Amino acid sequence: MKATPPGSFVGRVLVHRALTVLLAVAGLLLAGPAVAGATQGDSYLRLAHLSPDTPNVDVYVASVSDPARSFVVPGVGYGAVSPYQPLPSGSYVISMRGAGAAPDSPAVISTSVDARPGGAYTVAGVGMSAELGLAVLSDKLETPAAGKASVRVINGAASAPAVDVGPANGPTWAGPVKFGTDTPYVDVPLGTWNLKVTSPDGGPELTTPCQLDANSTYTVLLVDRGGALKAELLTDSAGSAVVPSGGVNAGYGGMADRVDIDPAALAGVLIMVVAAGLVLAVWQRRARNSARGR
Amino acid sequence: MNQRSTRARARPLAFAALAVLTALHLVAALTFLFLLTTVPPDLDLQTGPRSSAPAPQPAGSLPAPGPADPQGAPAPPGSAQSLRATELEIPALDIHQYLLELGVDPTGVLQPPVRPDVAGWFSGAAAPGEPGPTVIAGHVDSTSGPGVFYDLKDLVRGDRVVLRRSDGQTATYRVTSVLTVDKDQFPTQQVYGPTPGPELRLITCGGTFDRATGHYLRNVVVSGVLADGP
Repeated sequence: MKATPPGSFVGRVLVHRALTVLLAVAGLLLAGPAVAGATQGDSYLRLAHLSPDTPNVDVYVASVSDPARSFVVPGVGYGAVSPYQPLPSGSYVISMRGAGAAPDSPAVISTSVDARPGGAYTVAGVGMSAELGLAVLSDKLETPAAGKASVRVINGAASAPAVDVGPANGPTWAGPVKFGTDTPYVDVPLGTWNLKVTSPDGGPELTTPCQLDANSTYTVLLVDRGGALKAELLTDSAGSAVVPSGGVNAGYGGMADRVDIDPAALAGVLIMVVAAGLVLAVWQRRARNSARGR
Repeated sequence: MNQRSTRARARPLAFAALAVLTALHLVAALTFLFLLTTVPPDLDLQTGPRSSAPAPQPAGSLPAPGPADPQGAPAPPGSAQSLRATELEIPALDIHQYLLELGVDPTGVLQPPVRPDVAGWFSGAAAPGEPGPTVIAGHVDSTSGPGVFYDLKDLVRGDRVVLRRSDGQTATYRVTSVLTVDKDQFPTQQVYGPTPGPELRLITCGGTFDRATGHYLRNVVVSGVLADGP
């Protein structure tokens, strides 16, 4: 009479185990999936070689947080500008080695880029090789003022120690821009222009046509190609030509009041209820057993 | 004694049975509630659908490409003006659709397709694969059921979205973010602003439905970057 029947003990252990499992499963189901739909955006990276007397290089892009995302752009020569590469945001180390140099050899030069979500960066080797630098430029992605485009100048041409840039027969947009430097973006009128590059101190001059579209940002890149100064228009970013106002009304409300029942959550609730019932049952039995034991 | 012991053991069983019964009741109650709330809210059972509501559309079939929206904006100047988006494929959501062409109304607001079961490409923004945002809009629901983009909020980072262009080329985008935003704080810069590469925006409605205005209060915006382009 005093001893609990062995069958009852085994039963209780089983109930306890079942309870533990049930509660754990219920908890997992109720917790739901981990952060569905992350809101983190990507970044963009563009690489440029703008050092006239530096031989071809291999550019190493190493992701600090995720080494598997690292990559190498081999054999980049003077004047080359890569397309933008979308990357997960985060920290990157950019290194340049002589073309064909061993990956574990010391880098000629390196720098780090903290790539923010939604940011765009141009990393350029600039200056003569004796004073080679890696410039990390933040590229403009903000919409220019209405009726304007944003333009900056990067001077990578050793033949033009300082230049003024602007439309022919118009006001100067930027200048003097020294070799190895870049300017902030300036908002200029849209349309097709004859872009004129002049050297106030008697260097080379040129005129080249360019078209500037709405809601876009540009870089005018000066480089020496085949011994002659060239001005090239790079599109840094392009926006929607027509920018609608506000949000979009894209629903008629037919599903608005539907109670969105997550089947997993429902199962979790059910298991909780069953478990609660079992707890009650075990309690009841315990109370009875101890009453009988007394 | 023997009889009593059996009864003592029977009690917990009774409790367990009670718990199961309670659970079953709960299921029944929830099911009832579910059925109750899925009756189309603006379907008047006496007079049929409201006259302002669009006619119900056959579901499940690939809708035929329709004519361009009458309010469609003229193609923007630029190199991509002759290119259009023609088809949308989202394998993760089992969506494969021809696309309409969308524009803005006189007040400058983007007009989604009238039909709830088709999506449209906004011709004022970039063509697929061209630099800049390519914008696709579609309804979350009709007056009585899910719309083409009902499951849009379920997309996750890394999902693929394929757009076919009028020249037959395809652009594949990789989803980078899924946001739900208030319409009165719509992130215009983030959605339509300049981007360095070709990007994708899929837009539908979300949040609470305001019966007074007949509009949802929020937008779901899925963003992506080009993974494989023409």
